[in-house]
Amino acid sequence: MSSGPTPESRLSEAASELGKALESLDVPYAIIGGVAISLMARPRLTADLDAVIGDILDRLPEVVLELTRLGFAARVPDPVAFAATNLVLLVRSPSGVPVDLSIGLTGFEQVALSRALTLRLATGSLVRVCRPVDLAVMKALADRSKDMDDLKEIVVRCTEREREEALATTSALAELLGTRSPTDRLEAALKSLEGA
Amino acid sequence: MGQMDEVRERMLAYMAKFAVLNEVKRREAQSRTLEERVRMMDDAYAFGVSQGWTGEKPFDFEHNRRWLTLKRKHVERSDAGI
Repeated sequence: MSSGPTPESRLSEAASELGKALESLDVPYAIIGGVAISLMARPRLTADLDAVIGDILDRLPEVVLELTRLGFAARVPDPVAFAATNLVLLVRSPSGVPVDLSIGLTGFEQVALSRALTLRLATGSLVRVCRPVDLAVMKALADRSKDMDDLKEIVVRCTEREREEALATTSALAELLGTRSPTDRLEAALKSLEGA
Repeated sequence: MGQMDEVRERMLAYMAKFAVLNEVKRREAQSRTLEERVRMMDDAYAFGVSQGWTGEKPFDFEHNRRWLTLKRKHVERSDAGI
């Protein structure tokens, strides 16, 4: 690998921009998705920046307006209506990175927000990032092939106690949804550790 | 509505949210130009390096293979003046 100067990354810029913007709006957040996996486990391809945010449903217009004022652009024609219906606010950072803000209404998302880690990026900015244990639950609930890859990466970063917690939480949520699939995915990821 | 029903409703909304989001991401990925895709890959790699990644391969084999294929196509198109 090259030992030249550290290349600039729009993802770093976007994460810094997002952190500053949401903190100025007093909106709790935690980075999830590919950027969180890249920070917590190992780098992987990602086109966008994902974060879970606190319940802003009663102040959506104000938050969207302020984000726009700070240079974030909407990715759908009516971002307020879209977010109110789908619980996700779709914007583009001033640096041009798509940003998906998932409004966290479930108990496990709120727990994830409350105990997010603060990490320093290479840019010097401090950002809030979801803990591996909470990322594991999110990845177990998701159902894409790359989520399974991420899940295998992130359980490596969990302590034994965190793995047990992730499995208990996932099982309870999966049962509520009437499915075993998330539990099966997490168990498969945990099993892959045995051969590692 | 009972407390468990409310928790279940919220979980169903959570799952529905990601179904919508995945569809949006799929559409956006389809409309991305080759140049944008190459830039995205370079950027993800730069992010890893900026955070101290020193491994041989920045991404897993499948990602790496796609990266190289896209890079090659990009160079071929550039050479052909496309």
